[in-house]
Amino acid sequence: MTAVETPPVEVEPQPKERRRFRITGRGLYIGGTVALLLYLVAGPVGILIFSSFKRTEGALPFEAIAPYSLENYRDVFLSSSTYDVVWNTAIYAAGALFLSFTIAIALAWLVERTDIPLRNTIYTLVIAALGIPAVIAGISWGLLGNPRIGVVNVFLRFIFGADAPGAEGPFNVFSFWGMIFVQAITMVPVTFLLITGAFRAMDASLEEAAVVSGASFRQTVRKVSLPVLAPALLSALIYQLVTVVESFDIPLVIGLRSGISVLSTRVFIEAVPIGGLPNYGIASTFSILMLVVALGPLLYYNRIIARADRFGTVTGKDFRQKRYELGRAKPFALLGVFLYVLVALILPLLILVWTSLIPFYEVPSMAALERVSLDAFRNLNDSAFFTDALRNTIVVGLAVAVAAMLIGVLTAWIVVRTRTKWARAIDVLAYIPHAMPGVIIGTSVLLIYLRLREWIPVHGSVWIIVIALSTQYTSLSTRLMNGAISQIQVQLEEAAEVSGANQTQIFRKVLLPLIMPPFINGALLIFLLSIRNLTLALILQSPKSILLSVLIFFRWDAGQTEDTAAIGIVMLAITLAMSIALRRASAIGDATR
Amino acid sequence: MFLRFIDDMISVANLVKEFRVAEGIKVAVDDISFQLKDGEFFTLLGPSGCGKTTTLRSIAGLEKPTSGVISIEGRKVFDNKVLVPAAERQLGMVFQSYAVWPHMSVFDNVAFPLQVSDNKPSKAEIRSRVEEALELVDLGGLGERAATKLSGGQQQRLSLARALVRRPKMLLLDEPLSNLDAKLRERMRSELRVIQQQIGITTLFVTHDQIEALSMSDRVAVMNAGKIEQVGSPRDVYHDPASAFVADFIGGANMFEGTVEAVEPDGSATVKTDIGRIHGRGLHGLELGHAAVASIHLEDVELVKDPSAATDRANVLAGRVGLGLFNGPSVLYRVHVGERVVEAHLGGHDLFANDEDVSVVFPKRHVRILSRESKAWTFEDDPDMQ
Repeated sequence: MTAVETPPVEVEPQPKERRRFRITGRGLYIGGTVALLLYLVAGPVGILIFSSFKRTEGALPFEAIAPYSLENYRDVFLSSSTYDVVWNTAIYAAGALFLSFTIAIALAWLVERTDIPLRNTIYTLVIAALGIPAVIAGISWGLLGNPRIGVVNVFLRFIFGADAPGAEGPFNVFSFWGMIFVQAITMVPVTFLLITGAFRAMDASLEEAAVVSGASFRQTVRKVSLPVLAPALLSALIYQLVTVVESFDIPLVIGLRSGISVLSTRVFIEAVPIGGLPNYGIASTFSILMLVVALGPLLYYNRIIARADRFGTVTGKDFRQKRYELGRAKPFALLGVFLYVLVALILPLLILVWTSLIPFYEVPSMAALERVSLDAFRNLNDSAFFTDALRNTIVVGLAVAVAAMLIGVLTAWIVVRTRTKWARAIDVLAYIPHAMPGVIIGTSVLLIYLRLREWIPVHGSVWIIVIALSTQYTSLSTRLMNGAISQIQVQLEEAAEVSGANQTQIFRKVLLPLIMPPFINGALLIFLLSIRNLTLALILQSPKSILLSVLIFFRWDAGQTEDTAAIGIVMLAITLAMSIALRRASAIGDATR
Repeated sequence: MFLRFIDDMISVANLVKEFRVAEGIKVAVDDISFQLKDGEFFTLLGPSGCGKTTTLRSIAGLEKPTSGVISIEGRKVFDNKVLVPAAERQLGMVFQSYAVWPHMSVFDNVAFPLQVSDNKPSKAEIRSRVEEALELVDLGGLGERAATKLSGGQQQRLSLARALVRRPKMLLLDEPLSNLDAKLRERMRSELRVIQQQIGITTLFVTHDQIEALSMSDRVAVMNAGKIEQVGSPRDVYHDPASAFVADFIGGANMFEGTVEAVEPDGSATVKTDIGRIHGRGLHGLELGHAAVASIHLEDVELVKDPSAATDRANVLAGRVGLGLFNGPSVLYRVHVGERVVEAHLGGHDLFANDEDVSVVFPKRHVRILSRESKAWTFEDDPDMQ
């Protein structure tokens, strides 16, 4: 006999049918998620490419009167102003990256690797600055760094006795360097978060081995510490490069007033011009140029991430590491940290409070103190604009947090758990929105729902903003959930399966409870990012869908500084509370892991 | 012949599992067949990567085989038309990592299989069955504790209680002891076997540890590179290995390669090797002039100072002690014989000095002469099946 012969058991029809149903259900889930991702991600890219080939002076790209043409490309690529804008963007990005990384590396080193006092406080203060939306940082520094009446300038002139009527300087925030400075300050918290883990997890014994081998401090840093940290630093650098290329708030608030254009503001001006008709064709062509600029580094970033995993610098093992003793440098280190906190957190807060309390902006003085009142806040309370904006902002924040996180969990589960050959492609698809600058997502979503307004009437409501923000933050939520699900041993799900649980029961009773802490943390983060986002809210705004960030910008643009400051304070109250909640939530998440 | 299979708890026939990897296709399980009888403790033993865990996971329904047939109690759960999902196979499984759900209490972990079943028992019955299962594994009274507060050994028992609570048709154990420390592992070996015999459940056990396999099993299947090399009782696979791989993998052995010089009618054979002629018991189709291996377990080698003191004069070789490692109950000697090193496990009281000249004795009844050509095991080789 041979082993091929097996018992003559009748094939029961029941399990066969169940199997077919099961496969369809799973296919539906994967297919549905992919379709949703394609709709959210590929749709915008497609419409941009389409629009860039249409001549659209005053027309919509899909209207019959707009002819196919290459003129947009000729206008964009043959115009010297394009190269000025690209050059501006490059200088702007390089300057802001250099400054923010210098500050963030110094802070991360001090907090994680030295015996500087008040470590936890410093950590909390650095992260709290995440709660200052870029638009508010821009406005605050517009007030602080105004060459004539900026508080910092007035104070410095007073100290150095150079205060004459009509005197200006020494700083002018409305300049290229001013813009770079403010951009860098707003990028420090995220940069710090991206690199601090690597500083913390780096095995100090690597450095000790170098020291024991006879290396000096500088040799150790150059030959051991930096190469070991290089993957983490490089990946943070490229991540932030994309951030700075797409950054919009500060080029808008500070750059446009000083006549400096970067790619993001250029797209905005073409798509949402101040007076005049939008030229979507040119805007789309610029968007494609910008997408190419951002996508290159990002593809490289993906490769680094893959390699960084192999490097394995982050061991996650518990080890006590010896901290570098600052000794006599300690007071200077503390002073440096204090200066940073002053510039990033304290001064912007104080100037907003001050500005909101006086009827017309003036430099703080004893005389001005008499005019202090809460009128601006009383006006806010009476303003339907404000209450609508507040409500819209909360609705959008909650809706985006839930939507983006759900898409993130569904996508991440497919990417991490299924061994389909599509998993990798789905991962890349979910990652593309990170390379798509906000102005591009905003413009393309605007175009899509103008076209589809008869079938999906979201144009002009807050829901178009929700769709755009969900698209943008899908890459972040997928990344967060990829990490969370990879941490869960697959055996925990398999054990449930062998115990007789069906897919829904496994998801509800095992997977969901286990990923709850990172899920909530991610939802908080996306809520925070959504409500501080100005780009999408501004491009997609309508009188019915004003958000707080847009209202702040409009008041600022109209010169109503006290209203601007009062709304800014309300917004800060929310965002600062969120950033502190985030810190606590991540602490809890760490503890349960 | 078919009738015989109806009694089988589990039947695996021509199971193949291929994985797609970067370099092409890797065959993890290469056309293997075996059966488990009701109540049997059956072990798949082999080095890591030999396909034993893939086989177990295919039976559990966690892996979809490429081809083959798997039946449980005569019902096909896998062939080219049928794939019964893991949740409906009515099995209990203990994972190497225990897979204890950290967000549930001990009680909730064990109650889970009952709570998700289609005909969920009453609350009172769930309670009594969970407590019964916890008693069985000696965790009575710990139900309310958080699962993560248990020690490694306790989590292991919890995992076993969870696997047994819905009275499954069979129990699958995937290297359940490998995460425990040495002492606990030894104790769990006997406890696991006692519980298994107490409830009489058919058990498939997967391990790379030959001591676990030999001490716990009714039958052992030795796997190598996706194939089964031999199936038999622990004594069979230890004393009568079917291949050089089995001889080497189980218990470790001194192996000497050479060519067959003589095969006697009584089954004994002689191999010419580079340390001289070795006589022993010939196993499995030796042919004159063909490559063969003489193999002897370390503890069967004798060392004597005077060659005339040897109990068996068939194989006596001159050697010199290179190294002696004392480990309490025994001493491991490495003895140079010509260009080769012979390893010998001697009682802890035997004493030889380094560089001392000794006679190395291979008692003929302990030397196995095996064909060099490793071959896949077939049903005909299993004494239980004949």
